[in-house]
Amino acid sequence: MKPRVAVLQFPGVNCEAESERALSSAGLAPERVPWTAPAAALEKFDAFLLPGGFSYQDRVRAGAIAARHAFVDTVRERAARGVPVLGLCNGAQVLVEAGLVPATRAGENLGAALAPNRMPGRSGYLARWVFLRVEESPCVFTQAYAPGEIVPLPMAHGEGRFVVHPSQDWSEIESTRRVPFRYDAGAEASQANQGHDRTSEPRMPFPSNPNASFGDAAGVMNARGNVLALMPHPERAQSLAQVPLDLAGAWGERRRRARLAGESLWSAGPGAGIFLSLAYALGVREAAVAR
Amino acid sequence: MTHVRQLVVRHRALDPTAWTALHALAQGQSDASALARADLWEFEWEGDSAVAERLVAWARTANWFANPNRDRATWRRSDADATDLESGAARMSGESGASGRGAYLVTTWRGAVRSQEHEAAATRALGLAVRVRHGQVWWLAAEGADAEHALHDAGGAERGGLLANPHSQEARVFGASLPVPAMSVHGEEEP
Repeated sequence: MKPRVAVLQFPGVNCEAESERALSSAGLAPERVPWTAPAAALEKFDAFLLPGGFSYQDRVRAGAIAARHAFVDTVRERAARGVPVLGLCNGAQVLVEAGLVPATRAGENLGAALAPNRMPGRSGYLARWVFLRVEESPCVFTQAYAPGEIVPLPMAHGEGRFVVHPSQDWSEIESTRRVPFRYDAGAEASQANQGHDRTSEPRMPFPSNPNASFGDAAGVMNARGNVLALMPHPERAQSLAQVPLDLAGAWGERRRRARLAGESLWSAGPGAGIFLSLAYALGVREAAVAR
Repeated sequence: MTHVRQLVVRHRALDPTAWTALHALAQGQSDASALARADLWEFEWEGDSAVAERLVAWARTANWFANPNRDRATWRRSDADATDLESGAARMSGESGASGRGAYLVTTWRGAVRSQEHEAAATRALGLAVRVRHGQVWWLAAEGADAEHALHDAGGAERGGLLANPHSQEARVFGASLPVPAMSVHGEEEP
């Protein structure tokens, strides 16, 4: 039997279908659970995915209302027992507002925030492809990637800037290796960025770091690595067909080659590794995964 | 001389954000019985006070601050001026409109209180440098309980409340009246 993954549907989310497709492609059995279901309905699941969108119309702050839904109490309790939890974009905002990540200090309600994007000469929502570097970490969701690998993913958000209170040191998050995905323009930029202490402010300029996120963080996890809040959308890059033809780097090249060679575009895309990592963590053998 | 005008922009109809927040607070055992929310703007300039009239006229037609079909805009120049917030407050009973003593909470995004776009537009329209600050204001009433205390619980940094995330926002609780000005920039860089 395939591991079951609950896709939590709060009113206003809009990425359920592609999230389910990505989970299915990785050999998992997704099931959509609407907000009207009792929290007890979550007990049977092996993992949880909080999809992107605009839960509760982003009222008060993105993710703030959904973070107080009874589902989240169950997710918190299951996460404490090691059950994997993945929040994508608005799902990431819910996890941060619920205090499930970074969960740096015991008993703390909130350990970080996702603030409005900060960009030179403009403000608000930004949708574009960004490049992420996979950091070495115990994160459940990066095990299908090699440390240092560059993963292009699309982002689309207005409040995606990981920050902590000025009195709190961002290095506390870094020293406990809670940043498994970091914005990175690629190999050349990585080299130029060596020796960066990553104590607070972003070092990658816009648009490499598209929102001035502290530490260039695109995703932040809890200490155990089973809860990940990721702002870009891997479910929108689960197959090669979703990679833009003009994208720079190895994945763009792969996409262009496949087109010229007439190869299938429905092979795994750059975002598939996140769902494959989850599948492997839940015991799915590689042969069972549709590639 | 420095002049400040404050603009409070609330929905004419029941504010859905206030209604949702009120019910979320109720689940968390808050004493809140009514809650209202509005966009809060502050305009500050040096020199001629007569600019205020042109500011009001420009803001009404500029389409930057309020949609007259949807919003009610209230100008204030001193603490004594009404905010008109309570008359649009969401109530636990499902009705809108409240009265009695409440307290105010002003929230701003840290480092993003001043708006470059709005300052440029106002400066161009009025012909002098205008500083524009933006935030949100909440008004809360708590039957049989202390409204300020309930607001500290709901939005105070100490408890990481619903109405403000202390990692990204500044939150200031005021008593029965909303001061003019109510927002500060805390050393924020020029936009």
